[in-house]
Amino acid sequence: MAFGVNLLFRMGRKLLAEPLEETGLLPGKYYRSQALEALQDNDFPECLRYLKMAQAHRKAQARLTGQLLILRCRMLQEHHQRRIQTLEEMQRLESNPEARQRYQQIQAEEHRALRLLAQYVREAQNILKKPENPATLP
Amino acid sequence: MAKVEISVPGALAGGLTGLAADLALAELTGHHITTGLLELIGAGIGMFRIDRRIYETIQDTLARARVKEDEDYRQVAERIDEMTQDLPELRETILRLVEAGMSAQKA
Repeated sequence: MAFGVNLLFRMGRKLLAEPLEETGLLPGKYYRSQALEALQDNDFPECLRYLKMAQAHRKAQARLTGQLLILRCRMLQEHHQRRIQTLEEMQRLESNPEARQRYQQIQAEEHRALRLLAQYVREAQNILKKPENPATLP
Repeated sequence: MAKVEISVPGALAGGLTGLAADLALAELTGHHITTGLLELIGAGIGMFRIDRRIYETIQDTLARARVKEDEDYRQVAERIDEMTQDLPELRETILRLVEAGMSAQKA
């Protein structure tokens, strides 16, 4: 039952809700729900997209989702940092040039992942930092 | 109670009419109305459970933060403490979860 509803949800979203999403006319709860679902799927760009539309700085649920995204990105950054350190150590001990080159390639990918994660964190911070009520600011 | 008459040709005709109407609407509007309506119901179900889903996602995040299998909530919370310095709401929620976990362990 739950699987069926979920499947229909995904199918229907593609057909009906997605064209309406961009207009921003759907209820805020819809965007918060979608942002959370994207986060659960580790789809960070999609989560950020929905958080922007959900006006994340205004609602506690959306702010928590945004903060969770930042935490998850930081945890992944830590994980990639550990991998880079291990790769550096392996590269130092490796005498085979082909293996060293392979390690370098993997390391480059790890650095790319780190840059992407840092970008997601910055974007999420920008979304969450928006003033609560811009009209009252000087 | 009156006996219910079931007409197989009638059911087939009704089903075909519904399908034709759905296909015609899909052709005209580019959207599948039936699945779209069911999608909105599905979205409604998801939307009503956001708080619970956030709680589950936090728990899942804490579980992912475990480096060793035998680590408890407090050790995990200590590790992620630095990462949540600028995330006050999440920090507070995690703290409450850790306290609840510790109370449950004591009980």
